[in-house]
Amino acid sequence: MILNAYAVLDAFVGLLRLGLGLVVLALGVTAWRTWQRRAATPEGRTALEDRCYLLFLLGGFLLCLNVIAWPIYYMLLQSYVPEWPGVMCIYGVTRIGADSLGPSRFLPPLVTALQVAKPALAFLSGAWFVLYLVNRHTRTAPLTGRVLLVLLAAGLLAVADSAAEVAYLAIPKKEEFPSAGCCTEAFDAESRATRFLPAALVNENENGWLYAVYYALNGGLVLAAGGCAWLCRRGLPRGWLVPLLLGAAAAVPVNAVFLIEVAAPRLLGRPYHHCPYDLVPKAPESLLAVALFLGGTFAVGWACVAAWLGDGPEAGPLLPGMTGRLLQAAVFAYLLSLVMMSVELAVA
Amino acid sequence: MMARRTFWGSTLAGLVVVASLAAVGHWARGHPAGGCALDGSPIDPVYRVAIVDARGNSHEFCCLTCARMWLDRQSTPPRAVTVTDETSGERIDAAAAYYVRSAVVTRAATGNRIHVFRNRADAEKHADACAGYVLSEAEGPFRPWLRPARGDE
Repeated sequence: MILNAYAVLDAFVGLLRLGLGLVVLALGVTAWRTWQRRAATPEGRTALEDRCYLLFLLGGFLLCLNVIAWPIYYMLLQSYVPEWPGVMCIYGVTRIGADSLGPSRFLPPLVTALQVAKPALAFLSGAWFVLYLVNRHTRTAPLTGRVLLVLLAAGLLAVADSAAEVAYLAIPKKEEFPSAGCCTEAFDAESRATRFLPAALVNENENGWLYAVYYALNGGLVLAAGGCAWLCRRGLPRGWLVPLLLGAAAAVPVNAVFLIEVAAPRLLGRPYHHCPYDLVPKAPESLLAVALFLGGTFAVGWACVAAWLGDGPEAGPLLPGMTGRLLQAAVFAYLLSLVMMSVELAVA
Repeated sequence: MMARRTFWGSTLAGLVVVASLAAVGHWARGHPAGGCALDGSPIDPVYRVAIVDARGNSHEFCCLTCARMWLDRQSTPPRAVTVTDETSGERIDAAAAYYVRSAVVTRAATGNRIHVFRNRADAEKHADACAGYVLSEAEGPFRPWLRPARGDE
């Protein structure tokens, strides 16, 4: 175990999330069973909702911790960089333990799982909160069952994520050394993953198409989310959110490729170095643009969750306002991300 | 109407903030410090590689792997490639050097295991000591870009 300030902070937040997640799971299962027995009458639903205050309060606290744990985790990985000679950035830290025969062999899959789980957890926690807000504004709390199910899913993922994080902290790693090099080999070699894309899109000297796709897709998302927000308030059918969700999902890989192929080399001032992890210490403000983009994508997803899972005779009238506000937040986030990235690229 | 005005007001304020942050961040960073022309890492003088491109600009690299990755992306062949003799630390023409692939990694970040020597005797000594072998001219790291100049094979 490598002990530094970030490791202590991460361990504290991880253990807190683990304990809180277990309590939320236990209370959630009890509440779910009660809900199944008493959901038949509006009075029963209201009574159960009254008893769920502690559970939802803990759920809200867990949500905050899940969101905070995401940047803390990357700060922890960045703080580990100087621990090994030959590790230049977070990518090198993620490869520590590869080809090892001891317990360190679990480190790379744990890091990968954590990198996937963190955004999933943030999204799921947000989805629960959106449903909870809709349910709270109804008279008889008809969505309590769905709210509990999403909260249980978020609690389960939070427990798994925090347990994996604590395990990652505890596994010895100081005596391990990177066996496959750092980011230069992974992101700059001709054989890197994005080489599966057409050369016209990813060649450093001819990536105009990538700019066009990036701006068309992100600009289109701003307009589409804005249009949907306006139409939602005027009773847009829920089916119209499907193309917007597909567009938002398609923008994720496009933005990732753009970040690796265009933004990272330019912001780092190294035309052939494509490591996005290097942005953490060398151009940290650019991460705000990435965070805003992810926030916009999550907001579109949450709007869909509200529209599809929050529907019902009682909650239905509340949905246009809620989805409209979420899509408006998506417009805000996408627009700010696009402008910030453009300014970054322009001045770099 | 009020809500709409608030939204556009906060959007405008947000745009100003992010644009300023991007500009200030760039200004605070300044120009990237020296180092390897490919990935910016510090250069150990013993493993330094220098390339003069077709336009006459010089680029320095931390190891042979980075230099080769950089050359892979150039559309025109370089004017000159200079490597460093590990024994003396002197710079020599890449085409005239002896290269040894051994168990010793020169730079862990790229995993480069090719070593450079001016003399064949030094190269063979390193190969014997570190479980390596001397590369033939056909296997030379700069073979695609440079004409052979050793003349002993």
